[in-house]
Order: sequence, then C-alpha cells, then structure tokens
Amino acid sequence: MAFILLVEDDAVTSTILARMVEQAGHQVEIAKNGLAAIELLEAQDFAVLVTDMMMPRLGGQELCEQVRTGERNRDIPILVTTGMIDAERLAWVEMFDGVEVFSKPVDVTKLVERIDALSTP
Amino acid sequence: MTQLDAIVDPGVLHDLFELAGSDLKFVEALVETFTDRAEMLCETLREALDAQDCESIERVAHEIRSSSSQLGALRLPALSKQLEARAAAGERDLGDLYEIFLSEVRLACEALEERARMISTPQTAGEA
Repeated sequence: MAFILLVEDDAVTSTILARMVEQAGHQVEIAKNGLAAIELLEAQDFAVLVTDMMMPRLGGQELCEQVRTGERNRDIPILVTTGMIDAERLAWVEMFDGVEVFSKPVDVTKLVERIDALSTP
Repeated sequence: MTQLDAIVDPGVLHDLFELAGSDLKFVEALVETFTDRAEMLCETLREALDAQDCESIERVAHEIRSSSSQLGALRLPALSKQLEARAAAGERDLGDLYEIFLSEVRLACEALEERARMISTPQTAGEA
C-alpha cells in the first residue's frame, strides 16, 4: 500500500480517480488545488503525486516547480492529468525529471497501472 | 446510433460501473455530482459572460469539459472546448453561446441519468 496525493478541483474526476486508486490498495489524500497540495506535501511523505493542470490557487505547473525545489517529496514521481492539447503549453514538463502526462479524459486503468509501478519498491 | 449515443458514449458509464465492482450507487453518485455541479457552473458562466470575464469563462468551460468527458459525454466537451479556446484567446463577446451551452448541458445531464438507469435495468431484446 502506498500513499498517493491526488490534486484535482473537479469533483467528478477526483471521485473516479480516488475510487480506482483505493481499489488498487493504496491510500489517497485529495487536495483541491496546488496550495492545499503543498501543505500536505510538507507534512507527510507520498509515493506518487497525481495532479491536474488547471486549478485555482496554484495550478499544476507551479505545483511541480515548487515540489521539485522543496524539501520534502522533492523527487516524488508526478503524473500530470490535462485536457490541454497544445504542446507548447506542456513543453515545461521536459524541464523536470519524473513528470509524466496523462491526457484527459483519463484512462483510469492505465493511470492506476502506472501508480502501481511507481509505488512498488 | 441512437440520439442518446450521440450525446453520451454508451460504454463509459458502464465501464466505470464494472471497474467499481458493479457498484451502481457509485455511478449514480457520479452522475448526481455532475448534474448538481453543472447547474451551479452554468450560473457562474452566465455571470462571467455578462461581466465578459474571460478568465472565469475559460475556467468554467474547462471544468465542464473535464468532468463531462470523464463520464462519456461527447457533444458537451466539444462545445466546452470551443468556449474555452475562445475565452483563452481573449474573446469577450461570447454571450450568444450561453443558451446553446445551457441546452447542451441539460441534454448531457438527461442522457447521463438515462445511461445510469439503463445500467440498473436489464436490457430487453433488440434494445440499442
């Protein structure tokens, strides 16, 4: 069992992802925006961070930047979920190690498989 | 293809139902979450359109696109994407889209509710 942080402001998507990740045997914490996620990341260790891109009060890109320069969970694998198809707006992903993109609507089976792979020692 | 099929992909809710261990209440709760949230977001959209607030318009359209596509809606995400793109480009006069958008949201909600009912109701022979 791994601790997974899910950052998503859309209630439908977060409900689906949380349910599937929990069914896979992991424990899920949900934050509705990047700022809330930062607080959780500073307080405890997580195995994987799953984050939406467009959110109020700190979006996915800014969250990734703060995580990679923070103290705790600095090297956490990050899975970014996004409906953006503009490659230019996703170019920043290449700047960071350990960040992967999942297009929305999310293929929950593939996302959970990836979470399982990343959280297995 | 039925009219319902053109609004909501028939397989998505059913796949979610099966992935959740045949939990009908889970699917019904998802649809209810979407319909409740969509109603509220349409009000927010109306205000944002009146105020020509592109940032808010984009945010609302993005959320509706995201959640509706995750439940298998087909037409609504496409319309949301148009609205989102136009707002992101700074187009302010988008009020003409509101009634079309509201109509599409209502159709998607009705279609999702019907899809959820179909999961709980055994299919009759020949039903699409």
